[in-house]
Amino acid sequence: MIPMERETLLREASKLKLQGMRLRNFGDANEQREATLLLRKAAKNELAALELQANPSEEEQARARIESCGLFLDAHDPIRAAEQWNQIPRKFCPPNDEASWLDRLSPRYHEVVDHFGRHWRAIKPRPDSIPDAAGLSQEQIHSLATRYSGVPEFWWALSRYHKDQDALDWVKVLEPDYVRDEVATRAWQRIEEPFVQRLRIKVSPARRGGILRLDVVGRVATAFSDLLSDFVDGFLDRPVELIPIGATPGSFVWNVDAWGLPSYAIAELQERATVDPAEVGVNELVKLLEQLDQHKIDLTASIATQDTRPPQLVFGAERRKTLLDAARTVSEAINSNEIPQANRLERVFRLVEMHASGEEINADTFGEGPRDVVYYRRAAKILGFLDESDRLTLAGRQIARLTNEHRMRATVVYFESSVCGDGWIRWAKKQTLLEVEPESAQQFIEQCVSGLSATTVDRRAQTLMAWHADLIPYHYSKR
Amino acid sequence: MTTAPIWEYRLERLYVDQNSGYVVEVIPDLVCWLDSRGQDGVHRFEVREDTSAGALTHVLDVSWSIAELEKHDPRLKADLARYRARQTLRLEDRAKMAAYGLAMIAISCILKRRVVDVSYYRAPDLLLDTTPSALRGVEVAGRSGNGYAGLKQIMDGSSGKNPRIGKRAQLLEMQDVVEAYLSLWCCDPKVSFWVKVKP
Repeated sequence: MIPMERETLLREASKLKLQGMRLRNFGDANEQREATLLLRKAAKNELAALELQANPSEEEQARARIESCGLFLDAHDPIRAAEQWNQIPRKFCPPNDEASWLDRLSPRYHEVVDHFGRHWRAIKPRPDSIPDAAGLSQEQIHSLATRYSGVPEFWWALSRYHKDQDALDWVKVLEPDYVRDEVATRAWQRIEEPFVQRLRIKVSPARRGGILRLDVVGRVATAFSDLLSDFVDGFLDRPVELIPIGATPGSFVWNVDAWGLPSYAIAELQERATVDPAEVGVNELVKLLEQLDQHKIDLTASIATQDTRPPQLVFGAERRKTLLDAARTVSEAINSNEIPQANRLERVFRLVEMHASGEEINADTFGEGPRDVVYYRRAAKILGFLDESDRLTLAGRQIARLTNEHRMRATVVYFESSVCGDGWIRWAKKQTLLEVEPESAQQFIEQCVSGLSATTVDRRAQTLMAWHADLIPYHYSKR
Repeated sequence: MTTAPIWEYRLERLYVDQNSGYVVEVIPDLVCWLDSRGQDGVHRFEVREDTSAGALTHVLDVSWSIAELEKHDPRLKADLARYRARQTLRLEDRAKMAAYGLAMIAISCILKRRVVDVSYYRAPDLLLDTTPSALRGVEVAGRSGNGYAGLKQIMDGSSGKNPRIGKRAQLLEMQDVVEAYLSLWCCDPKVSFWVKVKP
């Protein structure tokens, strides 16, 4: 028996969605505000309808969370959208098959959330704390409030600290509770929570009295960062940004803010590494385990906000050995981060040029999305134009000063001698790239590269085919 | 392929056939999508329906009178005027809203049922029954061009630079959807698919 109230709420939500969308499409500036309200109310109705169900199935929960997340995005409120996104049952998130449920929502969600993360961090004076709303300028808050007009926290800050009456009127409509400063202040302090996972990564000597040297700790940190970034990008199809915000000595503990990291990623990494090391970027795993083994170090990692004992990821003495043996047996596979996902070589060259001229490289200056900047930087590393510390190599300097034609000729050789190009040629049992069938890219990746979702395999195969098409006219064995 | 009789559908009738609270919000986009001048007119669609007896082609003539529609929607003229004056802010959801309107017409003509709920971010878009774990509905899409080929790609998915799983496969996989249809619309040329996906 379905409660009548649930149906009423859903009907009302449907009407509000359509009204809101019509105002978005046809309305003037004032009506855009009304659209924000209607869409926000529709999202809340969806959640209220879910609350009325006694024991909602995972599908029902997913449907309500997905719809309300999308509606909050349409209402220009990425904070509430992210809260809903985080509650979508794991079964419907990558790498599970049911992740196609998110097809419609996922690209829009990630685009908005990536932008929000950048805009928010730009106003933070320190990476490790929430900015004091009282210390921000009117211009800073206003810029956020107008971009994210459905976020009541920003309008509250404008009204509270800059005496903006229009902002106060808008807060009263958006979130009436925020007229009480203590409620709004608490909400302000929690703005980041839905977007970032605070990781607690601990390394400690396996033996009592052992000493952790700085160079070893540094290498372990790099190896762990590479493993986690590679896993999340290749398997969960998301870039993750790891920002250290503090450390404590003794056993050495880092607190790291992981922007874009799904809350279940650490547990997923532990599970996948145990079941099949090939799935987690096995070369990165071997590098980390060798560092730990060589220096007799234990490593654990947890999401700090989730009180998990034991930690979600544990590389202790016994497990380290077993895992290392298992990982070494499959480490012949090509690591997923050696395969480019950046179709346009001329954009790789542009990135190298920007490095050479000392320009700042970000989504705005490079003219691509934040993810694309990551992918093009990775492509430059794959071709040997940048080193792992993002410094220009000698090859990169050469590329920066060459003409376009000479760049392409040189890049033929750099690609053929890269792990990816060399692997593709050898897999195809050929001598040069010229003889390799471009259509074999997908099969090559499927057979030789571990830790990629089906979607990512397809995207990277597209890149290899695009590079093949671009490079072949300049191949050294052609006259 | 068999050709069925012509359906002549006056848009004003949609206020009777479907929930008027939903219809009123989609008609402005539908009118603008089919006729950028927002004037009275007749627009002929070829609608391919997959039936158990094979493919059936319907001809659907959608027509309207702005004056008649305005009786149901006092702000219609103002919205159309803003659209013609290019004062509307965004276009991205226009095709989606217009396709909702056309799908409601198809639901009225073919299924003779009513849409009870609308869902933006989960398939199916237009729900005919919201019983938990036994949903029934119609998944909708609208495209400005590419004809049947483009619609087929939406239906069956695509590989390539941005690989996508098709809407048909998505609906089949959804355990909590027990009855589903696809209603896909292209504005130029004016063609459409109506496909029963399950049961």
